[in-house]
Amino acid sequence: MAMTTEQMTKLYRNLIRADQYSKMMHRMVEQRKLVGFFQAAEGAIAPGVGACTFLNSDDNLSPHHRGNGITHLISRGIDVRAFIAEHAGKEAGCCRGRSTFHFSFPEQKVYLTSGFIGYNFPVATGWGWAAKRRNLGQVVMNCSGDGSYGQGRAHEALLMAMNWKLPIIFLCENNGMAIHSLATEMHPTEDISSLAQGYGMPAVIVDGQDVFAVAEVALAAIERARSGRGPTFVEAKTLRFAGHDVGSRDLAGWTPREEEEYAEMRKREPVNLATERVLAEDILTQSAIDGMVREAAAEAAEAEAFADASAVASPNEAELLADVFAP
Amino acid sequence: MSEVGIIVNPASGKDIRRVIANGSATTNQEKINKVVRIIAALDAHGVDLVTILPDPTHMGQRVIDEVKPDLKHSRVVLLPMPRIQGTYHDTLGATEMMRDRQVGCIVVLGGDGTSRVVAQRSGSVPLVPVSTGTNNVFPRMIEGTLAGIAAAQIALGIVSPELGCRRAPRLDLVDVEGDLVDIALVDLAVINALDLGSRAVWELNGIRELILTTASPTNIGLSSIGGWLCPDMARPGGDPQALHIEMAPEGRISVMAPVAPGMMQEVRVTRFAKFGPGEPIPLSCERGVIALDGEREVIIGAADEYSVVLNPEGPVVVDLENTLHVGAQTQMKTREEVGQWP
Repeated sequence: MAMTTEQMTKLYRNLIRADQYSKMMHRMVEQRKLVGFFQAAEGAIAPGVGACTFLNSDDNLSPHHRGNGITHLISRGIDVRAFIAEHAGKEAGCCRGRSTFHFSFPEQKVYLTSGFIGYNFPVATGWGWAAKRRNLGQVVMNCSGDGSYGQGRAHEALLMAMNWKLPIIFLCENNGMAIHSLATEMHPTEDISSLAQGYGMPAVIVDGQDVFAVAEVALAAIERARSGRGPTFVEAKTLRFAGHDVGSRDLAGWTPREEEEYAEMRKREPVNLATERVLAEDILTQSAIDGMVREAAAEAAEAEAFADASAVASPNEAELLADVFAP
Repeated sequence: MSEVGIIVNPASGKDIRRVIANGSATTNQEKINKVVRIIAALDAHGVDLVTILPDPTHMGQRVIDEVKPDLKHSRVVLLPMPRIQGTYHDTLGATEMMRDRQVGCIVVLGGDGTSRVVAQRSGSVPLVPVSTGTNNVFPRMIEGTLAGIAAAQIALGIVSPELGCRRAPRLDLVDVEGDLVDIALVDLAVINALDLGSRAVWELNGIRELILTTASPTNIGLSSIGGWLCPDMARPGGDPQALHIEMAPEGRISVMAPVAPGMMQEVRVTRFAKFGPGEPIPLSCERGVIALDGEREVIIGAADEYSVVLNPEGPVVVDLENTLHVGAQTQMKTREEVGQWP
């Protein structure tokens, strides 16, 4: 329960880094430096950071698409320069610029980001089964949004994970919207976690704007999975400050979201909330925070410069086909 | 005109204790079902108006949709609140409005924490605290229909407040200036922690002080420690007394207690003492967190000093057993007088 100063500092640093990278990627998309879609993470960076910061290096991670996974990956020790270069379609990218958002970092056990909402569930279930069979204490962190629970495969995954007591944490980052659809119109219950209860799975709701609260719950769920007691469903109630992806209108159904709604949401900006906390609780000084922000900005700038300087990926037909599993 | 207010906490019964202690989970649908049963009893007794706290998850509206076709007497509406924030401020605001509307009583569905928030503003309005989980002491685990009957008996004046209600004590957390910072209804714990985290308290090794308004071996949660340590503590309805327990790993007194559902833990106590109303108990000032009714709420900074006072003038609570028994006797007399046995 009692988080240490070191743990809180690590979480805060990762939150700052995720924030810097997310904002930088948003700008790079607008500058046409990145290719493909970018699902901006503003407002929703705390669940990924809180849930993934204390995973072990051999745990499997299926990141959520918000921020194109940056909030989850930032804590995994990936080469973020290769992540940014990948999104820029550069040869130095982690998949040599072929994948953009559909990247992988196999060394960090991040094998995919799903092309369709909810398609990660069967794969994550397989990882969970493998982890159980190997019996090495690995867990699977399966991150998704509220919209994915409209997919039948998500329910099959919950069923099988519970039947087989698989070491999976189902992190639902519920921002109340699936692209333009309101969760209240897409689900009969407002808490997605109540679906998990139907499968007999322990389910927790946590404030997804509070990185420390998310981490505390995630640590308990990870410990539960690691000790062989099966899956846990964690619903982090979070917010989406902008449209689904950069370039799309932010509509709720057919209607633009109200300015008042944005103003209200921004009162719960996760970096501001965390900053207030670490100052009030004497975890960090303002000077230390300023230093962290400078370091994170420099790190992000270096990744951008790396991507800018890298060669554009322009594979010929033979090179492309060599990467296809079943040409 | 008779009016009953209903406050339902959409967030209760869903926190981290579902994972670490196998705590029971209460879905919002189950809360809706319970409110529907409460309203059935209010309607059957002829309560004129039922006002429900509106919340972002629209539970109140769903209740209204459900009960509307069957209502014979009562009108059920959402409390006309100017703004809903989706935080405990909604509960505070709704309680104030209900108090100002002079409702006959307020039915509160949630845990100890929900009742604590309501008790900050309820004044002399009687409360019917109904548990929506198994980890509570202040609210009762009672079938909704019975809670509705008790609420109706009080709101309609069938049972007088003198017979059906009692003042519950509360713990006032005050700062060095003597200003009220917050309150607790059941337990106040001082914890060696840096952060509020996910709010819930479940690990005991970090607790250095515990102050209880009630201590019974029939309790679950932190107050059970007092129950197993000092089972002759004041019971509800008796003279208010509180128990101050100091805890440390080297404590020579060992107590095994059910600190959460399914979670038995050994606690080491260095000292414990009862105290009465008005006597300020200074809290240890080292850095830490104060938890109120099981939720971490207040950070103790380096320069902060707090003390706790037992206040016998806490919220007015409907005594369910008394109210239902007196109500049944009153109804029996009435029937005898008019000779209308079924």
